[in-house]
Amino acid sequence: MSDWFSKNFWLKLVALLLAIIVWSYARQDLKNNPGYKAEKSGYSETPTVIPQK
Amino acid sequence: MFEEIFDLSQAKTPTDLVVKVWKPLIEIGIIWYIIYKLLEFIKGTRAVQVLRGIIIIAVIFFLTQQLRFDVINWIFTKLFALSVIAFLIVFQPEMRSGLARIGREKVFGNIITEERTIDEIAKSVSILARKKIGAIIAIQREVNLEPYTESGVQLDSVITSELLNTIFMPNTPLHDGGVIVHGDRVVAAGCLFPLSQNPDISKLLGTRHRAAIGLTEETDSVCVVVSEETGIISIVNAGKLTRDLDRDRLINHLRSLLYRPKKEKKSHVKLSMDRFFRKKT
Repeated sequence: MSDWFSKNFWLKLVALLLAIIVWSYARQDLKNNPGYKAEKSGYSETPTVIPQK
Repeated sequence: MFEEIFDLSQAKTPTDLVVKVWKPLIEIGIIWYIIYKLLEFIKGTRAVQVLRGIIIIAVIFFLTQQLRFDVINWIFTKLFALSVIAFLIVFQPEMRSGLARIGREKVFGNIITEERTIDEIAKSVSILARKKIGAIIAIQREVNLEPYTESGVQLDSVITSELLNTIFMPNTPLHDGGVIVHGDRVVAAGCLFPLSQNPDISKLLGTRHRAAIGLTEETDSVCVVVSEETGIISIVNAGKLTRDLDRDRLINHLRSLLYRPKKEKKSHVKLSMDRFFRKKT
């Protein structure tokens, strides 16, 4: 197991940092998406306002 | 930061909490694995220098966004859109070989099925090495080498050490190129292989070795190379060169990489009868 960590340690660390950055960007983008927001908010009596062009 | 990632505010039950914590972790884990494999793949290629630059730019982009430097952020956003096209053009060869590697099936259909073939290759290579005659033999596996066979002379002949030695004999029309072996036959000779662009390849290695590395980087074939200057025998697999082989070590390498003996096809009836009798005893 320790071999697995020590092999390409810096590459794994850089990959982890990049993964967190990519994930947080993707999530932020999703959160700003009105369709995703409406889907996640669940059922409600007042309809979610989806901006129209 | 923790709250930002895990978004625990809407978790009502303990199960909700577990899902809210595990989901992002699994997602980050998957992205990490893809990025890590990508980095591992381009490590050792010329893409690595460019990648360093890209990482630095990405970090600056991230910082400018966090610090709300809107103008710089706008410039970076426009540059990123352009750089995607530039990236596709610059790394077209790396992407091609990478995608080929991903799409490769592990079915081992067209490899050596007769031990005699390995013996003939090893015998020929050791004679050529002793005489310091340069040679390159590519052995096809899953990826079809037909585009390379077209650059040479089609043979389709039973493999023998005499044939290989004759092909590589200096001052003959076919000696200055590679031989392609498919299954237990010599498919073509005098073929041209793509040269590797890897900047880390030793300057001591000539064009023949560079071509062998290039071919094995782009396809899953295995190459056997004899150096014209030193007579050293090398084997190349997946862009990795193993040098200084003697005949026995070459046979062992070829056997472990390529040899799959033919299996006897048994009918369903015969198989079930075998199973039935095994149970009885």
